[in-house]
Amino acid sequence: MSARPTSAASEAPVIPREVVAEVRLLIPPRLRAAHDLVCIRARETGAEALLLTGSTARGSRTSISDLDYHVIGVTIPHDDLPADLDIHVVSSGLVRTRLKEGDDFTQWSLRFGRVIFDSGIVNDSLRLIEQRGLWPDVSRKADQAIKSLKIAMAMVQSGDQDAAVEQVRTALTLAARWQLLAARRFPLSRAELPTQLNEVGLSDLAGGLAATITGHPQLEELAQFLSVVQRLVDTTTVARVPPVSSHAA
Amino acid sequence: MSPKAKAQLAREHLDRALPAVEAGAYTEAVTWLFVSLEAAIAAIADQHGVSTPPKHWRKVEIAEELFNKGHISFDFGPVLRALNDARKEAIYEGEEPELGGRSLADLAADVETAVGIAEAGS
Repeated sequence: MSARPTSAASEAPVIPREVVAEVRLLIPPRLRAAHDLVCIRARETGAEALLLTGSTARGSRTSISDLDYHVIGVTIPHDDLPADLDIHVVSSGLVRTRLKEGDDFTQWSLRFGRVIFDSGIVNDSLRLIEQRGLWPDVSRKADQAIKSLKIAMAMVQSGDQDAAVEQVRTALTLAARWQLLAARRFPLSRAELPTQLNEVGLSDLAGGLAATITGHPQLEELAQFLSVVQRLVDTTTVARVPPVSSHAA
Repeated sequence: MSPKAKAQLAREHLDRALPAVEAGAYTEAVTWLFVSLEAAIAAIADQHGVSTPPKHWRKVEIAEELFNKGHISFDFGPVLRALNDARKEAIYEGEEPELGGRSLADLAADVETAVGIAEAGS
């Protein structure tokens, strides 16, 4: 479970100034003005909570990292902000539903996101996770990984290397999250996944993912990385087929 | 890769996207539309001597730059941004993406315009 302490139900926690300043320091200097605007706009639109998420929140940014936020509230204007800001919005009414449905993305933000402000919904949601032992739906993640694998394979076949690197990275990331959730390890940020994968013995998947994060592999290498995911899918598909009963005949 | 090759890729990606747009298969549709538009922007940029780094957000800026400098008469930056957001929403969260009040067919028409510009300049 998250190390984040929770307070009494529905109580709006006060985020100390030094914590807010510490969060701001995680952000690359060129994006700090945009970060300030996101904070102002989120408050202005009456958001219940704003969290910095993704690799920035984990202090594990890479050269391909976006700057990710999770707003609990309504959409905030962002067309004039830098294109590498990714602002995910979920209404307060949907947060509990998403958690109960097994959505890992919302749970990730609550567990590992850095809270910028919170009316109390973050604390309440964390308590819900803790009390009910909520864990993301592994089969849902498997389905996403399989869908992404098919698109990535087609992208490699298209011969567009730039697009293929991106799609293969996506497919490997989803496969990694699926496998880690199945192993009861909550997946961290993308740059941290290879280490987690090695810890559960999935070194081939770890190596492929690391190569797509730090480099620009050729199409042949990308196809090999996808074959690793295909093997995982094949194994799982076989495992999902129920055994034939000896009484069936 | 030569600009002509990128323009060809843009067309091929669009050809893959259109059946998905027609079928309402949003994950495939927004993904192929996105890479088609990225390839078209890269081709147009190359035709005007502008290099395109692989980062998505830089391509949005380059699309805006091509428009601001008068190289093209349409700003494809917002379309690229919308498609990038949509594909992430679809693929990472498994949700039907929010398209900012636009339809898949609207976005496909914009991408087709960009592909046409890229082909005309190659």
